[in-house]
Amino acid sequence: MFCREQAAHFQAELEAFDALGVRVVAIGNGTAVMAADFVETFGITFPVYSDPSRAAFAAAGMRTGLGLGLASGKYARRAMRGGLSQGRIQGAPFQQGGVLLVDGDGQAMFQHADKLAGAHMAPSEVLETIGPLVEAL
Amino acid sequence: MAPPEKSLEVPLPIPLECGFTHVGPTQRRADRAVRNALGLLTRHTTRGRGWTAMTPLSDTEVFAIDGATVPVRTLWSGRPTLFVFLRHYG
Repeated sequence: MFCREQAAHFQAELEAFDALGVRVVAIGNGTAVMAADFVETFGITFPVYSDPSRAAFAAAGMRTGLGLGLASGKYARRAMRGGLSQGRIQGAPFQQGGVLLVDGDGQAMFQHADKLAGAHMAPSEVLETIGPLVEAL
Repeated sequence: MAPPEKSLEVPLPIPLECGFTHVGPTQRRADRAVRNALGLLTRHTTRGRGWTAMTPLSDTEVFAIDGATVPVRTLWSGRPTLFVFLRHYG
């Protein structure tokens, strides 16, 4: 359910990223068919790609692991309060997510790798962090 | 844990296209600190063969929802791009 929550949050803030001049691209780790179903089901309008080999995840420094910790219950309750529930997992269950900002030439500018499932940065936090970096370009 | 025999020469911000090169110990420590801080580029192997380079992000390929293969380097053409890595689609 956390991937749904993450995608929904970024979808809601898409205009703010656009205003900053930042393109948002999501990469999941299932198959292209799973990604297409995800996009259609949840009305995602930004580009979603699939990386079944998870090579891009590794190159971007994303973590793997169970992703459970003391805060997991809190994150789950937050997602459920938002009307989300855990669906059938489509992809690698132990892959964790995160964000990576690159400039127009592919230089890494900011990276955050989630330590726990559900510990993703809120889009507002991301905007606050990357705003000065992008404006300085 | 044996230190890496080779290191990346990585000015900030880290270029995702960079390759291996021999550098001195001070630069090597600095490079390692940067890599560790960002969690990028290298990971220790479990086969006891020392450090190994990972495929740069720019060289990886992903699939579009129509099944077409897309090199990641084409996704940031001339514009800052935020990659959101999703855990899975569940």
